[in-house]
Amino acid sequence: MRRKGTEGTRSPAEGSISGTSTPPVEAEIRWDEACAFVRRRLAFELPTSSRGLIDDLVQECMVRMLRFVRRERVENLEALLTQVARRTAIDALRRRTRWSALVTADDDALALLPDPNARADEPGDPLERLEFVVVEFFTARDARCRELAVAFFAGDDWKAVALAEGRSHDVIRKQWSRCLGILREVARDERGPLLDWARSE
Amino acid sequence: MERQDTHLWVRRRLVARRAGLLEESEAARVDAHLAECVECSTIAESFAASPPGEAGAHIAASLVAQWPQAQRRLRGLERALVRRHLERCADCRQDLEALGFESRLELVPEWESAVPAEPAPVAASASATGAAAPARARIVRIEAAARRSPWRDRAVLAWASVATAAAVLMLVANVRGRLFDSGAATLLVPGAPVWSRGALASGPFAGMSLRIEPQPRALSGPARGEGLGKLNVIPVAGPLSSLALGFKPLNVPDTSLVTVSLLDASGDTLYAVSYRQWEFRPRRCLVIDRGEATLTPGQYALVLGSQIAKAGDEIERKLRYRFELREK
Repeated sequence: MRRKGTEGTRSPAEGSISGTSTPPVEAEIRWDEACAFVRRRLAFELPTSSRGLIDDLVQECMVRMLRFVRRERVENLEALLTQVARRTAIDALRRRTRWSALVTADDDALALLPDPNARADEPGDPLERLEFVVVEFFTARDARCRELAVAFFAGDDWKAVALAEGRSHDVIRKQWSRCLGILREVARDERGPLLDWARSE
Repeated sequence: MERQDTHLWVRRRLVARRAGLLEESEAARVDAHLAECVECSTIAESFAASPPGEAGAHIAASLVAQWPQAQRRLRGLERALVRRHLERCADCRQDLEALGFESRLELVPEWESAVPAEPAPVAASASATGAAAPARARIVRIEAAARRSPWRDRAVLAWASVATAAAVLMLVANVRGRLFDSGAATLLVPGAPVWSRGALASGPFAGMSLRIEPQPRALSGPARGEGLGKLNVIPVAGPLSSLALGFKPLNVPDTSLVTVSLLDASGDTLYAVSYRQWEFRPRRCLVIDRGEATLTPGQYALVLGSQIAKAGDEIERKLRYRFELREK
């Protein structure tokens, strides 16, 4: 699937993303071959009981690959796809538990044990979806809050964000608290599991 | 029942706790419960590792992969935000199209939020310079700033590295486009390949092609307001189908709308598109991609226009970069 890149036009039949010290002028991915590779990796990573997820997860892996290719050069496509498939498979298994925390089959009679099949039809990952909602919300409303949200989601640590900004932890926390106030005010009337936390008790 | 309510209260906040969205008092209450409840802490562990995501910068890949379900299930504010993002993010549209999905989210009144996804518009958009065009533009990070760059390109790169306000932007006309993230890649690495849509015509899983973006040309000496400014000469060999330009953006707040217009020698607007100021950062350049309608040698102007409201007064800011494509 992968060959080293060379200067000059690359034939589509060569089918690879190249990444050598000599940058290629053109490179190509053979999409169907990459899909088949990812499918095999996912079948290897997932337990038998989760094979029904494979079609969606192949799509997810391909989107992640596309986004990676836009950001960076790919030195080894197979290694990238192997890593993406592994992380996606692991995360898909966690995702079931994540949704079970947010949405139960019957909210009035909460089951104490997580139900792995609860709301299996809820698409996507709740954490990824919530992060998107927060960043996109602040994109139009408050650039400073957006910056803080992006920095936190990328690093998961307010102290690291404060250090990077050259400001105190307290200042950053206070700024973020103000941002949360803006978000809560809008989200408290929203319905749905992702923004449930913002409702008044 | 009270115990169950506590479990429910905590579990519904696990994702918000992981995303840093709880106030300290709430987070402490959640943590206290997790310390004593095995069932809830087991669920909380599933949030311990980050999903391989984009830190909220794009629609979740996991959602894109299940787009038919997403189209039916998204509600309220999230639905409005996803729709708005799709309207301006060519990357996400491209992702959906690559999987064979329609890159739009239908407006269903009963599923929409009462809260607008966006506050009242800050300023007029492309109409500021006359002819408006569909917003099919893209911004990408400067790549392939080769070591053999002309001295002026080197100069602009050096300038960009020291001035925090320095950003450059990229616009593409007449082709589908996408927005590149300010990811971890460094500025001086060889250019990342860019996915081209052309090879996808035969189906969602047909082959894809990648191409290197053109090397950016730095523009300098802009005129403020209606002045002329410096003429930047860009040597070319014949008509160009693609041209990348780097320049300093306006000094306006990040949330301001900035209209970028390409004018020909007679002052006619060839293309105009609006961006939020933050989209120009950290280092972007503008790519004009004319496809079949090539850019012929001659003089052009790139105009950045912004209207920001301050204390009730409208303040207009404008920069005009002139450049000439001159036959070698």
